[in-house]
Amino acid sequence: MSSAPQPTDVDVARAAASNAETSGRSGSDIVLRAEGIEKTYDTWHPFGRTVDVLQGADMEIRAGEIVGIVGENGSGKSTLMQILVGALEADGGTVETSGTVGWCPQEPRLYDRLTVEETFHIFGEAYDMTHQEIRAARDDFADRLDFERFLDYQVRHLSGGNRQKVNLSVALMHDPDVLLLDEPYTGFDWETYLSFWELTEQLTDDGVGIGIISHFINERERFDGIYELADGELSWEVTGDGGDD
Amino acid sequence: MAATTDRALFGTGHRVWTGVKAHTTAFFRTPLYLVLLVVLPAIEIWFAGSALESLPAVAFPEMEASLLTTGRLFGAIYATAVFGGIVGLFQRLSADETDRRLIIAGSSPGRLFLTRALTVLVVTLGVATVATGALVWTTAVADPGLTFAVLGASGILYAFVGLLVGSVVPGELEGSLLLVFLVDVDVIFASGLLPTDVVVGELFPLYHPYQVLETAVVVGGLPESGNHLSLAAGYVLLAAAVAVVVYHRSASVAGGGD
Repeated sequence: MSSAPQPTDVDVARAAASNAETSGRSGSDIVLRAEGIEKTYDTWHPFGRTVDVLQGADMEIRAGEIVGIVGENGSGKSTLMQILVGALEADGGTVETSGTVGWCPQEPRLYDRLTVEETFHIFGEAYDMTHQEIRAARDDFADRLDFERFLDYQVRHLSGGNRQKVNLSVALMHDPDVLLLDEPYTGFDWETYLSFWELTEQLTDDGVGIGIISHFINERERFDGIYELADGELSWEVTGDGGDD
Repeated sequence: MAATTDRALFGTGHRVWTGVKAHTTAFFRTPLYLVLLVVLPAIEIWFAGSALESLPAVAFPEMEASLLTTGRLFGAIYATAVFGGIVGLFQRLSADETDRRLIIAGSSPGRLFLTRALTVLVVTLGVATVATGALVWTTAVADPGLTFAVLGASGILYAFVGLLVGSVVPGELEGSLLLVFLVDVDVIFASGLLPTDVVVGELFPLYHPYQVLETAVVVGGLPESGNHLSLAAGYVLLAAAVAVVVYHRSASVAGGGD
């Protein structure tokens, strides 16, 4: 593992991961590891509320593995995911990832007045993709998730489901090594929902490590394992035939 | 090595251009923005001129220009500064979370700031053009070129203040109120509508641009006394520098950027 921690409480290093055993799993390389993540929402306001969200959360995701992250509303799942991708600074702990990261936030973080086409371009350039790669990714996801006819629509004119398709596509378009998705199928119709799970299977077959925040109990069998977030800590549970290689 | 640097520079320039084009286009995609951009400065110039013209001139013995002209100058610089500030504020706040996602995707905060600043620049110069046109239409303007330049600089100055406010004030409403109040006080001091011996009025950002604007409109050229042009430029650069630093600090996230 080559890590380059920054001099902050939380180090988000893009480095190759080692085979540390934090959850009893073994086999594929770890593509994301978080240790001792702590986060408290504090306030300067005298009548404000201080909330301890994460209190030493540990997790790891391995290449080719798909893990669920579950927990009650307000348990801190989205906070955890934002810390994992570097969108939010934690109070303590470390996050290490190998390769590139794709992140699909719960609420689409897209520019409302740009078209879908322009959205692919602006994010593709941020990912350092060539124009050919951007066009290929755009065509691929527009076809898979069925939003080809909306490419020239401004994002604000899309339905919630179509906006979410673009939100997801932006997270996937650069072929990330680790993918973190926060309830990515909100608003999807049934066909798109099934296409989404087909897509995740294909990605895990290609070695992508995926973490998904989920609320649906009937999805448990789709995961190799599940992290349950409660009282600021994560507990690991192997589901289906996942977890052992 | 040089070739690599050239490619990197070309790549950065291209990405900034893509961002500016996208965000400028996005701004002008909202027809109501365009209508407000054209109509409000003209109304403000007319209204402020008419309002001041109705006051007795004897109440403002130290005022160089007529009250009508002063009112129109007040309206022009007020409209340009408010527009610049509000556009800067919303460029920062309305897309904050998406900007953060773009930074995580690999865009640097510096490049993103440049994109935002250039977008605001384009819009602000549009407002300055409208305000200059309205002034020329209603008033005998001695130096239209310098008038446009100083109005543009005033708008850009407050655009940076807007970007700055957007980085430190968390809400659109709060930021807008703060900006409107600040510009209001600033222009009242700058225009001499509030006669005072207190030097603090001269420290407000629009004081020096207003002196240049008044001379450009009334007699043409630059003011003979004082170093107003340099000081006005200094305020613009200072606002830009502070806005860059604060933006970078607030937009940077752990592990993000390049």
